[in-house]
Amino acid sequence: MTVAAITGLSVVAPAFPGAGGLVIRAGTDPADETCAAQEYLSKRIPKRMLRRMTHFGTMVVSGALAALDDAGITDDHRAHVGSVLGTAYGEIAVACQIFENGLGPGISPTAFHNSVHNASLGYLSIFGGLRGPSLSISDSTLSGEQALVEASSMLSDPGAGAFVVGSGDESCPSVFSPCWREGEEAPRETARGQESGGIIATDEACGFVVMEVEKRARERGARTIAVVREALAGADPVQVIGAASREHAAPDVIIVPAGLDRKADAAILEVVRQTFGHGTPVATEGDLCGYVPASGVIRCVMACRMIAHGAASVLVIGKDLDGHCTVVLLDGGGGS
Amino acid sequence: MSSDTVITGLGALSALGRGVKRHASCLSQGQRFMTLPTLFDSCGAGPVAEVPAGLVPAVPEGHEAVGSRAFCMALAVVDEALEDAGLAFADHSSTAIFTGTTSSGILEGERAFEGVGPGDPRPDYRHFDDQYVAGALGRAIARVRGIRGPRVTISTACSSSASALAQAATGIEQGRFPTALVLGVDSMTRMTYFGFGSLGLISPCPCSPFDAHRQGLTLGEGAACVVLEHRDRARARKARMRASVMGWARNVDGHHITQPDPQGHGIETCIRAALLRSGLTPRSVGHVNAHGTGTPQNDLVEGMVIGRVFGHGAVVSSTKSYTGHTLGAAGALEALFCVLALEGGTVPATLGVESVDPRLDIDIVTGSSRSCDLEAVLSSSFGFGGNNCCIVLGRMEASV
Amino acid sequence: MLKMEIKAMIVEVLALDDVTPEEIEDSGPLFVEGLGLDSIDALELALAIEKRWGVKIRNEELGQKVMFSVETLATHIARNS
Repeated sequence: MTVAAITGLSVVAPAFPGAGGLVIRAGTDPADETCAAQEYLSKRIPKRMLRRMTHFGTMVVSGALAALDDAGITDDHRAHVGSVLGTAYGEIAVACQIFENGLGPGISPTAFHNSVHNASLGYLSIFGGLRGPSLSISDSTLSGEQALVEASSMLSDPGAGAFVVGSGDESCPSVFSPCWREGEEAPRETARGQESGGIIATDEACGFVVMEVEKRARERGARTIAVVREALAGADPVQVIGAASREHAAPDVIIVPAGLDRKADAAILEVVRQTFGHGTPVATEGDLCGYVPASGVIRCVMACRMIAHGAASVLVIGKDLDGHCTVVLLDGGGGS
Repeated sequence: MSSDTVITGLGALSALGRGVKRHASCLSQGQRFMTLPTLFDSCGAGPVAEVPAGLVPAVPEGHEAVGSRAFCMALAVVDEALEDAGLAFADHSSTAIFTGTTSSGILEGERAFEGVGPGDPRPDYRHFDDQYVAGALGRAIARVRGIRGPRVTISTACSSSASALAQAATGIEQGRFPTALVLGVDSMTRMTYFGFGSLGLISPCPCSPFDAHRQGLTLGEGAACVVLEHRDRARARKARMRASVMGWARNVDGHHITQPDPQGHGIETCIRAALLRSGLTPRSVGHVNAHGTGTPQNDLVEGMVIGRVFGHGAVVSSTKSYTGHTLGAAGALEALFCVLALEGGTVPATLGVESVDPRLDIDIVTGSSRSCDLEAVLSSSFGFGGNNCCIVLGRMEASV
Repeated sequence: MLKMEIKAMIVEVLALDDVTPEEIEDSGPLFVEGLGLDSIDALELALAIEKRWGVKIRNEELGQKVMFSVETLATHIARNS
């Protein structure tokens, strides 16, 4: 695998869970860089062009552009940049709006094209001048991790330059309400009829990283925050986590999703402990945002910030209700 | 230069019927089946290419929770393709599955929301996570058929399953997995039917891509599965290699959310990049399976670009004139048609064309299919968001 | 009066934050140059007019003529509603 350097970071989320307005926190020391997403966009893009953007689109476009800014990739150098977005539910609010307004000849053309899964990436390419390959990936709670794995794969392709890779979801609690009542401890039927439960505060957020071929990042004098050593996925956690552990030292920190499903969480943690021993501290994205289904890249941003502040290596683990598992191993680069 | 990825299995289901052989015969005989939708009241806006009742398999017992119409169609083509590849009983612990879909179980979502207006409580939609969500379908197929390698769902509008094929081939080249199922699927939904209608893109009569008087696209539904394998593995197990995946490319226009760049710069760059990756010059490509939706804008821009790149050297056809525009399924379905063209040495006619758009100086097959000696063919898929993907497939050499 | 209603509708339906209804000229072109609207706006506007006044503007050729300006729109609506 080509070693991918991460050169830019951002997270877009409400200032605190449930606060409403979206705030961008870019870079490794986000306290210095906070700004409102809407304001950020309206400074860069004419108002007229922004008027059709959805709430989710605002999250994606502002977060992706902020990560590119953080990576120092200026407007003139964005044509070779591709984009990968992992989102479980995509433009769910617009879709529900279309459903409620009734499906018939009177459906709004704007709402229809905005409901497409990759609509926000379309806007990103128009506003940001990105012309590289663009993928929108949906795989439930693993959407973000899959985005990282597939972007890593594309970076190994000849001619690939850089990708802005993001994941997240907007909150649309009323759709989830039958099964996920906010703040309640509700047993939930899963696809396999198993019972699981948890305290759920659904939130919204998107995380972004800029990934580049390490050599190219070096050549343009970019700051490398972290490098991706491994990015793997599969249905067998023992095999996937084992493969990541074989060639690398135990990580300083392991980041797992702030999950819904305690049984699956416990099972994954058990595999982690069997593989790396009991000593490695385990963190979740809970400090950055509330529950977001496609949180993979948000946890990757967390990992990068830990590395920027001294951690030697961090393992980001994802899992879903089927037991599918992903690992993304990051370290500070060098010595490869 | 050819890549290490080969195609060893195919499966198809569309308005033409069930099975690859049935598709091949419809293509050679110029048959299509487009009628007003039966799944919902269309208000008479235009015909569609629906999968006939009775051809969509029933939900397998025990999988009711995930059993959307799209899931049932997908399962049929996955099984056909695995059988075709001789992998029906194989171990799939490292097999990957790359799904391309735009609507997954939206049809079922629409039904759940029926009668629910703004401000009403949302419906008790317990299958939301198992059916509606784009990734749910591929997840369910992987679970039901024991496919345990990487599992990815790509949803980039009408280029979804073409992009899934490109992504799967990338993974095989890199040795991430030896075998991958590429699945494209979309069922007919009111969302897409009235949505495309709201953009003025639905043709009131069966579509006629590249015709001077074309009036828009005809929506279709269906599923297709293409089994990709590393050449070494296919050779080792003496599999029938039906075609090679020579190259691919993806990019975006960055021009408009629903319309192609009128100059076609983005798609031209994409076609040329796919050729470059395949190690081919335009001259080696004998056939282009065009995106060819039948909308005035797409066909004009695409036809001009094909003319610029290939001149009269490549014979052009749009198989959407048979299946309708199957959206997320189109890329995989059209790759399958390209394999049939390479194997049979025939290029299907584009149906419904009376006179080719006079602004286009390209060789479009009309009337009846044409025999051609094909070494390599190119399939194009372009989606909303200016999302482009081109794939080059090559005929298997006689001795491998 | 009808013209003012149309202007208000244009601003509201097309989410034009950067102009007020009063700033839209009666006879100025709405599309490309002028107000700078595009083809999606045309479809959205035709839909809104159909909903409010029951006047259909579905044909593209007719649409280009009728939706040239607020004035042409008002004439068409007055004649057909």
